[in-house]
Amino acid sequence: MIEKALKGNRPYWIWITLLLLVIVSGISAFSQQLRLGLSVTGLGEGACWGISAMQFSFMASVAASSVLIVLPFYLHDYKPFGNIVVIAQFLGASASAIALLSLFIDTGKPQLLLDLLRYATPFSPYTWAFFLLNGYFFINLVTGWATLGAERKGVPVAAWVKPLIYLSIPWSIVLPVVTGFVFVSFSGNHWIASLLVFRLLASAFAAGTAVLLLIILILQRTTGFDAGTKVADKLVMLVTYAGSLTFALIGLECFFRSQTQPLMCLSLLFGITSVAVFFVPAWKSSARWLIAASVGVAFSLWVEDGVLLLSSSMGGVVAYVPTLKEVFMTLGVLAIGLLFLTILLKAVVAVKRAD
Amino acid sequence: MNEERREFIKKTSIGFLAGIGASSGFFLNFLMEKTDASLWAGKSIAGTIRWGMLIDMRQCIDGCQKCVDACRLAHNVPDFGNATHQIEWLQKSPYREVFPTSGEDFAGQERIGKSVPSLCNHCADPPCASACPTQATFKRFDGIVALDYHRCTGCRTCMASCPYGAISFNWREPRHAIKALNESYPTRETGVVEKCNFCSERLLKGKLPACVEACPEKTLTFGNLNDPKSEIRLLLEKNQTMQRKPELGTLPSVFYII
Repeated sequence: MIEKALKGNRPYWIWITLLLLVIVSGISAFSQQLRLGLSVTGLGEGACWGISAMQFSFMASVAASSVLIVLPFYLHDYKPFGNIVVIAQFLGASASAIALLSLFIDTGKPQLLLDLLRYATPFSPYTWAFFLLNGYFFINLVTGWATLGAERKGVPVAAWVKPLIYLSIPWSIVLPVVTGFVFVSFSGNHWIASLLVFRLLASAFAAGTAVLLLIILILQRTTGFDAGTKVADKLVMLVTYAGSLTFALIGLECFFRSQTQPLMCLSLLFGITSVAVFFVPAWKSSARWLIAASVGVAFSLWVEDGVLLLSSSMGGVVAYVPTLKEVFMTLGVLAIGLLFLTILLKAVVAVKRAD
Repeated sequence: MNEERREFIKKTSIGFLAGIGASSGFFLNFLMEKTDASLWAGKSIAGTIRWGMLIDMRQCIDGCQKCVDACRLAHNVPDFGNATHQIEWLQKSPYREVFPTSGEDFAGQERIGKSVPSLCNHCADPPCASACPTQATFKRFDGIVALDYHRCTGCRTCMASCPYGAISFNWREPRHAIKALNESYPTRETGVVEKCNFCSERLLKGKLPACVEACPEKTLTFGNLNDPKSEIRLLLEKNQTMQRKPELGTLPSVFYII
């Protein structure tokens, strides 16, 4: 199936080339970081985690959201999702990979990353986040690939696949919660700790479904793959609910917080505007509006994840401006994930259209 | 064909696992460093020693940097002359930065105008040690919160979880920035964290921490908090002292008389 990724039209190859370029620039920036240390980033005594960590927490959320497709399809036998369940699983796998790579480039000694396995510490949330992301990556990749393979051959899925898929359901609830614990242990976040984990769970579902909706709309435009109107409607419904809940929670926090953060308000403004689009019937049926609104929801939640990290341990908000190299590295990681996803989706579309 | 392939994969993987199992038996003695349990027999049991420090600000001379300089020299702490990448084990900072929640906003300048030495508090319940994913930051039997530079992956969760900002990260190569190299203590490299270790390497030789020894006044008192007859305990009994951010429940082992 993987060979399908080697055939494509012009826009496909332009997209691949673009991703490769971003990856190369990321790798070049990363090689400089390996040589010079993390001093090439904008981090320092004040902000010790930056955009790479933002990407980690955001992508862990996106990964977890595949449960919203997997659960109705496998537990409630909601047939329309059968069309996109593999896409959701592959999105889960790619997002986990991006989250893990973001952690990788953010450590001072990436060569010691496997020590996280060797010296695994049961009371450290960071250890758990690492383990859960790895597990989630493999479960989603393996089960998605097996499901797709069975579909191509027209045979029922192997018996070992279903238990793994059932396992992925509680896994995806635990994943954003544990990622949340990593940030609760940040001393700057004591005040908002009560809401943080719940909010991350809600925002995980909002951001993830928005990204999934975006992917399906893009596939529809570029490959003619049609997930069906029922699927799109259902996804819009999920984004609307999860998005409304998330932005209500963020709004509440903004309201009760003693010092308001301009970035948070910006995120909130973006988010509410985007969710509002989903409420207007005329806009809801237009792909253009849906794309814009999905991007809006995802972007606003990405920014919001960042605000969590910028609360300083000594109180207040720290000044932090990422350097260009840091941006290249983070985008490079994102591009690796997107390339991976593109290849997987190419196989999915080929099987679905029975090429 | 398919059946054959399946059989082949099954057999090779069983063989592979068996190989790993067998070889781990052979190599176990080479890979693992042996611990001699008898070495621990004479050591103090957890809880009998808890090293602590009392900083008496009534004695501290404003502008004096002798403790800070002694610490930098003793531990090869680099000096970049750059606030963002600076590494500090012991530093003197304005009162409000050290005690942001002490409620002494309106106290007179003679009390809060001085800069206060701040260092790792060696908390009894250290948030950094529970955040570390590899136990590179850990609590020793004598209460010292220690760091294994070789095990640190540079994830910086300890920095983020320390409410006192006591942990520094090597953002760049530190060895070029060491003013005077001290051969008796190891240097660090790019990508690991470091912080005050209560001079555990000196305690081992029966010496006091470098900062305590360097202080020209009697500002710093070091001792065993669990020994009721120690000097530090007597001082703690007689004086009204405070800790940094006691409301967080980290139970610092560093006390202050303001």
